[in-house]
Amino acid sequence: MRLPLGQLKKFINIDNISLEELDDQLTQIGIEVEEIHEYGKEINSVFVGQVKEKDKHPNADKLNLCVVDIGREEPLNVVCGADNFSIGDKVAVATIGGTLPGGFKMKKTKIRGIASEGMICASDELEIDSDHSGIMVLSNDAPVGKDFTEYINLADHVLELELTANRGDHLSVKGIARDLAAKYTQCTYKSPDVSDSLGQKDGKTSCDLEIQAQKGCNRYILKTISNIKNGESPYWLKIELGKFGLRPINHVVDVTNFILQELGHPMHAFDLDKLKGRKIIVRYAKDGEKLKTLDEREIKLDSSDLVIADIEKPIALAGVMGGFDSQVDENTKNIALEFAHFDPILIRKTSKKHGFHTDSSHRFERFVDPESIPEAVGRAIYLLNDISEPDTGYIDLYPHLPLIPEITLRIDRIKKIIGKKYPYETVRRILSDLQFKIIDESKDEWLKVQVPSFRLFDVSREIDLIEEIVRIDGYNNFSPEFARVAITPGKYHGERALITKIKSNLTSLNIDEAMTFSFGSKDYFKEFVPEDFNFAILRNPLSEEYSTMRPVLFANLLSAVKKNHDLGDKGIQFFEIGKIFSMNSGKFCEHNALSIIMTEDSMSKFWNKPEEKNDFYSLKGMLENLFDFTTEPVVFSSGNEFFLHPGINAEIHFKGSKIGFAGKIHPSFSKKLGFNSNIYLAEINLSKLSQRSEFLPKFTGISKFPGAERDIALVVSNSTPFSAIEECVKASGGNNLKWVKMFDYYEGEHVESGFRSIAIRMFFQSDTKTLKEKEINKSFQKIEKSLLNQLNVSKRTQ
Amino acid sequence: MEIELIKKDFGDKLDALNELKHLDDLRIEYFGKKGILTQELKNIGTLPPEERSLRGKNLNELKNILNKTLQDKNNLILDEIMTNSIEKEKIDVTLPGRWKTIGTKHIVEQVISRIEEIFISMGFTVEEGPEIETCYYNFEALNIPDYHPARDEHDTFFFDPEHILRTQTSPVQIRTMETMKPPVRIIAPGKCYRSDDIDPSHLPMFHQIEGLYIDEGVTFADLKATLELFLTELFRKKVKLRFRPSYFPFTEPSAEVDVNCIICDGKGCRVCSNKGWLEILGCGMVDPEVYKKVGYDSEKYTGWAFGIGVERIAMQLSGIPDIRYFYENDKRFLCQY
Ligand SMILES: [Zn+2]
Repeated sequence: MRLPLGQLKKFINIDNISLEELDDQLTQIGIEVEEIHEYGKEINSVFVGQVKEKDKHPNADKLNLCVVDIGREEPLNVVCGADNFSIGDKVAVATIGGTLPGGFKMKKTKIRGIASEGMICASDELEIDSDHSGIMVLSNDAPVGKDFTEYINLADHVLELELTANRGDHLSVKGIARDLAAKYTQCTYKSPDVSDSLGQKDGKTSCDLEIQAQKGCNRYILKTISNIKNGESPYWLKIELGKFGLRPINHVVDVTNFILQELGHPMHAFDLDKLKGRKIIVRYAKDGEKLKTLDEREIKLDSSDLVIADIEKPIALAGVMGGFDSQVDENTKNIALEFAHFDPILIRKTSKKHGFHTDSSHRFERFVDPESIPEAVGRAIYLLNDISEPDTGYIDLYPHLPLIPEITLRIDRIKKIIGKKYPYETVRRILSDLQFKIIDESKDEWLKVQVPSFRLFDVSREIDLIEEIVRIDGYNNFSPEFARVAITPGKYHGERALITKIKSNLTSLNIDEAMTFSFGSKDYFKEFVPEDFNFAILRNPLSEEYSTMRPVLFANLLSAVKKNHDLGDKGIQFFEIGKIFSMNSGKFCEHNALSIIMTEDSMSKFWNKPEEKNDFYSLKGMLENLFDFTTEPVVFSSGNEFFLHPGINAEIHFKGSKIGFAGKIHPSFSKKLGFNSNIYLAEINLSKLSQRSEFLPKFTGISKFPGAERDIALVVSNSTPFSAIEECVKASGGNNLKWVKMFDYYEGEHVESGFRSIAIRMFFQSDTKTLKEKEINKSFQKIEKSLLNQLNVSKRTQ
Repeated sequence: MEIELIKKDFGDKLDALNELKHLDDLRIEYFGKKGILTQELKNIGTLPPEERSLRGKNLNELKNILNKTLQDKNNLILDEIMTNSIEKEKIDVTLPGRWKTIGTKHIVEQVISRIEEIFISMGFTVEEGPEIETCYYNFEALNIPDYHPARDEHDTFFFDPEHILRTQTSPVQIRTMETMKPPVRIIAPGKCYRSDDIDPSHLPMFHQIEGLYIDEGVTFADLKATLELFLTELFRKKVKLRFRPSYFPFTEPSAEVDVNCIICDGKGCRVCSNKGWLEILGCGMVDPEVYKKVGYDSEKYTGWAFGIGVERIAMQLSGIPDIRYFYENDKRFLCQY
């Protein structure tokens, strides 16, 4: 909201308070000042002048040569194109060296051969309105030589405020002033100037009013004004509207807009002669009824929309926007003014549904004080006084009086919540300053108060009163103090502990962490999941590109890898941990997953070592190391993910169930995505992994006796996986076999095609004695026999 | 032979030597089975008995001296060899080192872990919640009823009328309170989503950390003390805090917390828009409506909650000008941290 300082000063005497202090104090009571504009700053060196001479320009009929006194020793010679003024008139004169809105700089110019020492301004040139039909003629009492912006109150500070959603009462100059006055007890709040009387209830009105809607309209005051001379607003009103960021329209409409900003009361003016039947009806719309709104949109209404109607059709969407056909224009003679209170939820529903957000709906949604409506009526009559004679009567229908809560505040409760003891007198004073009515009290113990009608939206409970006490006393007016409580150990719950461990392990393995959006394009994701996959799809995404929750982690991560790849960084090793999403029989599912992607170009190229490329085993080795903290090892077996290379494609198992996959991305995908090198990727469901729960595992004993190694070189069919050899060795090795590992691998020349040579090393050791050569050989021979008998392998001969 | 003569001969031969192999030859020439000195010692037996003792003594002395000289020469040659090889092994230490880098955690993760560390050390547990939430947990239970203007600040992504992407981490408050009795002392980091168009200060996905502490005797003053300690640890220097009244439907009273600008020390700069303060987090005392929703006795228990935006903290701590860097995953950005 925009708050012109000059307007604020009408309501509260803060002349002695600096702008910085005001900014700080507003902040202290919860009104955030986002920015302070110097309004009218663009207008510089424009002065009030008086026309002393006015003659025709010798070379141009339409131009006048004027001599203008602006209070200097020498009057100015000014050429002027307008003719709507006479000698003696007061005018606004822009002088050489000054500036006007739009960055316009005043320079000495010759107009048709005659020098002009300034410019007599039209109101559009000063951005007061858009009128360029003639120059601005000022009132006769304007002091010659005075700075024009000061004279006409155009120079001002406008505070841009950020308001909270609960404080509808802050949405006006008056509301801010009222709250500020409770903080600044030395400053007094002044009510606005209003007309003495609204009229008599039984006096003449030119229009009838009926509220048919049972709910939604809590109060409606109708005031009619006849024989109005509508037209342009006076300059002061146009200027003040400008400070609020509004454009002038016509006098009547300008007054309604001004009162909304000044007092926070949305009001509406109807052209009475445009209404059928001289009757205003508040009712719900009929399904299918239409209304053309002021912004010239035709909206289709239904029975949940509250409308203002004449006897024929809707003429306004209640509390949101007026109708085009009943609007007030320059020719309007008779008007009906609406001052109403509509239900906040109803206004919000309607305005959301039709896509409106107006100054009026914004305020009704946040609650407008129904009790201060008469003040707004009085203010409107006062401001329209010059151009009209109001009818003697008015209509005030008030079907739903507000419930005024009475709240008891316990003094010791404040200390319990805040931690500071507030003296009874302080509490009492603050509540009174905030216009809470104290209806009962027990000194030092409790107070019972009635909430002022303008705070009904946000204050209904004891805790709300406590907030008010602290707010006005100052959030920074009590000291930090720790509560004295028992100590409990902090720790991770859930998967976060596992995740932090994995992240540490992966970074120590030289993999960088990336983070991608949790959503992406459905078309893109479809490439990586089975056809019948059930996506979790957003109904209102930013765009198709962000419409679908990721079904796998690696899809968006691949894009991140690709991006760096395209930037010229070929050696990428990325991981991401995050949620992946799906739907399962109507339920939304999400779980944590880990994805690792590495390009073949090694990250570690050394100037004096041959270059190594990443391959499947780099990825596998990394995964095996990564999960050193699990309760059981992860196991790899041949897999069949369709987006992976059919021959470089592994399933990863943990405790007997599949938790993920690893492999090389399928060449066709690689090509499609635009990679020109091999990409390896793995993805693992973290919800199925479990971390060792004990701090230290059981000690397993260390043999004191020497052990011995035995090697065997085998020629192995390609159809026999290494895991089968490993299992066979373990199964037949007996208790003394401590470990088995592969130490050499060869395929190619000297090995028959379809076979490879694999050399394995076994280590034998006993926990209870030194093994004899004979015993070791016996175990070794047993293993050898099992391998040769059970598997398609033979001993390598050379 | 005369002792002096043997000694002189030995000395001359030794001086002429400079290889270990020749040194060994000399040893054999004198001390070997048929060596000169060995021979002289054997010859003692042929001397008259009265000369034997003196001759023996002199020869043994000579033997010790020669041995020592031989050993010294041996060491000298070894030293020379080492000196030579050291000379040869000299390298250019300014050539690049052979490295195995350590990967980088994402900046958001680094900030979250740091904040977790601080709060765990203060006795908080770290909790989680789903990212696809129901309107109940994200709004109603947090005292944000339907059609309340407070919902304007939550541009929400919907799956259906009931299910949304959570707009804040606050639903974890409710989920935690539903499953445990006070004392509750938790933080909950995680992703949140709002349908904001992407620009230098907005993304549709961001991270928040929620904090919640409920027990008997927990006050606003405790919230202040805890946040002061937390932010001093996070910024690694004593910070000044400013509490401003604000509004969050699930806390009352509510506050925005500003910290004195760490860039300009509160004097005013571009980062703090010349205000000297940086908006750092929102917080407040848990609203009685929330207790009602989870079945806590609001007369007995009091507590506070806060929510902090991770990206914003990271941007302030590191001076990152544009939030879009966070999820573009440009390695040149990621690896700066
Ligand atoms: Zn600063």
